Amino acid sequence: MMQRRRVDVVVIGAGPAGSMAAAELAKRGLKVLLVDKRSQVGVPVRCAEGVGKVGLMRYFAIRPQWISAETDTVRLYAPNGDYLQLNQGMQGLILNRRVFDADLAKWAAEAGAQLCLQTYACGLLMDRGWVRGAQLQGPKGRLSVRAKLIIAADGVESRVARWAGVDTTLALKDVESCAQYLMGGLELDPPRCEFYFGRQVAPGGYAWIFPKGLSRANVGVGISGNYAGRRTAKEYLDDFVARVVPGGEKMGFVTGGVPVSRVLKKVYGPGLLIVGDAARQSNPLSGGGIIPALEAGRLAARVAVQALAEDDLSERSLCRYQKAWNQSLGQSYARHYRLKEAVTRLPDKTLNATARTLRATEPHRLTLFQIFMTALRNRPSLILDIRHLFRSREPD
Amino acid sequence: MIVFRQELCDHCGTCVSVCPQDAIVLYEKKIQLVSERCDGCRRCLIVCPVRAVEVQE
Repeated sequence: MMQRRRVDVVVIGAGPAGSMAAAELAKRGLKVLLVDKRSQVGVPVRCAEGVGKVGLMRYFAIRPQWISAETDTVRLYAPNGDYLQLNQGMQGLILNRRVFDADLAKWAAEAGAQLCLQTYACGLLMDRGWVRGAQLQGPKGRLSVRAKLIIAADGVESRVARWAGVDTTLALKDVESCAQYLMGGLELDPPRCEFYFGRQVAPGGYAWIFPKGLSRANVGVGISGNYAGRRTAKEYLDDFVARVVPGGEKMGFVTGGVPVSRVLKKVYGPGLLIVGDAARQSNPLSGGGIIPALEAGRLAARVAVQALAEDDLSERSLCRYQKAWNQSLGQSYARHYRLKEAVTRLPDKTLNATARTLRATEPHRLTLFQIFMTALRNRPSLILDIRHLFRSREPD
Repeated sequence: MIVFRQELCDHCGTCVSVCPQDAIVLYEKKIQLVSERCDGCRRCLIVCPVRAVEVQE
């Protein structure tokens, strides 16, 4: 049986981007429907759960329950096993996203958003190219919801934007195919985040070990989509675990895709805003997606409030969100993308030579810039690959 | 013909993200191919972290 409803905004996806947008909209008195296909928000999360503390503090007063572990120490491993250690006082958090995501959705609901779980989007209501609502499938049957605005926060597996005519398909080179174990019986002392690079370890990506406290760690591998044809991420992960953490106990397993693409030309349509992984807004160099999701959710909500007040959901009105995104993280991510393209082409011998050159440097004096400049000296052709970074204005 | 192996699939949706034809529907615990839309490009198979996709004749 078909139910019909009318709201101001439907937010599709209750991850960090969707819950952030829904909460900000609901706080301003708008009628918001927030839906998620899962039975429980935050379960599962496909995420290494690492985030910068300062970055997260821009959005929230951090709750201790969100934190599995905390560290300011990073180790970068070259293919030959040499590593560089950074202790820069930049605090990193490993989140318990099961709690974090649940809190964000709960806050959206407490602000007045209606949260509907086990609810899929199966189509959009369109009228002459304009998005006018969404067709949903819930546990009680079909739901047709008319809305002035749809916010597509449906993650890496997003389809909603495509239904509105915005093609968000990822090229193989612009996605990381990832697999991760939650492992126990691992002591990382001092607690630190480890990144492993190399053709054999993780072609076009990296392996990671992020502490989760209580002798546990997220141990994962991401490989570039265009290296994934022969061997899977899971095969690379199993090799990595056998070699680096053979004593660990596998407690959980999860797979995922991470966008590492250019900024999309359009993260909006008439009556539509796209946020988070659905908009391919994750950091193309690190793959980090939590902060850009929160930022996009906040920016989208801000533009949406204004657009709804003006009753103008046209593309000309909503492109303010695109501009806001580009001025915020978008412009630095455009540079990060070119850096990603260059760095993923570095041969193992350059990574080894870079580590060897810098090994003698005091950890607290070692910066990412220094690492990069050393890589550059080892492989001068890198400058050709990244010459665009040194232009004063990006053309796109 | 592209076939999903339900027992291997972890429902991560990486395949969906690279499908140029919007030919994959992902539910919370099930994945489905819309075969009329599939053009056999195999990007889904390539990118799957556990190779839960195969080609059957």
